[in-house]
Amino acid sequence: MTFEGDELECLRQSTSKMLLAVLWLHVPIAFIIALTLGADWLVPVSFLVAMALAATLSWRMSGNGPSTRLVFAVALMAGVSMFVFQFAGHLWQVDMHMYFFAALAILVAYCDYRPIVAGTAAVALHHLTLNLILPAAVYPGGADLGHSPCHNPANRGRRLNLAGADTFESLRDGGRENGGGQGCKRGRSAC
Amino acid sequence: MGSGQNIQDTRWPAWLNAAALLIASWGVIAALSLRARPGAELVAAGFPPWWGAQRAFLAAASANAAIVRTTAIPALLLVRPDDRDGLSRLRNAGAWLTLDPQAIAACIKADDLKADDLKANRLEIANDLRRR
Repeated sequence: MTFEGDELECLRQSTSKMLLAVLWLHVPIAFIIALTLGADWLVPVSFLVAMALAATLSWRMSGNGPSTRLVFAVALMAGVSMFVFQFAGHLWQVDMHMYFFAALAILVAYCDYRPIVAGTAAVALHHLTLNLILPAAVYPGGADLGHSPCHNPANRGRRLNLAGADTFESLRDGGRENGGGQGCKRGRSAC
Repeated sequence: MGSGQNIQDTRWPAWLNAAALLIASWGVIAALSLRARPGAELVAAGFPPWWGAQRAFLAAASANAAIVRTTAIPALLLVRPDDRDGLSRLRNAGAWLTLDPQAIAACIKADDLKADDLKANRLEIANDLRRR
């Protein structure tokens, strides 16, 4: 059961606009990281341009529906994965993982559990597979396989909490005034 | 940014675009993470899978690469490439892939496991003979 009131739609529009800006902002950030670390910049920058372009095209062609929200979630997590790769072997690689948490928290603004699940799947795919075949790409100096199962349930649990709280708020506020949640009302001024 | 209206599109499932993007992005990051870095001391060289160990050995030797060890897959060798253009030489000699050795750790472990299994089997047979 979902509520698709005007205020909720307004909040989702604002979130998509903000995320689009973030995705395009990733491009110069990747360039600066590459220059700072003295690494190749062309591939990371091209990758992030492709992610931002995919999100922009989806937004332009399919509107702000579930498909676009899922694409935004995956593009955002892919961008963070690229940053983690760029910092491979660097002390700050662990710190780059914090950006995963921040990015997932931003997705809560959609008031939709699906982008959160898509983002979690993207992070799990990146961490579990790469931690299995090339640990140094995920954690500095490599890590044992126990690191990811320890890392990911914590993430998934937190996201389940976020998704649960989000759905609960939508249901409660939607039932009360046939519109969006409290967070959506706060987002109204941004539309 | 005048777009973003909620357009209903029922041609394909909503998750399909995101799934395609996820697979493509993961593929790029995995390929970037697994490739051998220029100047790497050790490299896993993957030759065509239908090549036998002998042909893979000859190809690696023709690229002036020192063979460090074999793996569970005959066409996958752990080599020390030549100092000058070692990776290009390996590719010219027929290597399809030049990977970070950590990427094939599972193959090496499998190899080691095989050796361990062999040892265990031998021990079991010896014990069996002693019992008889």
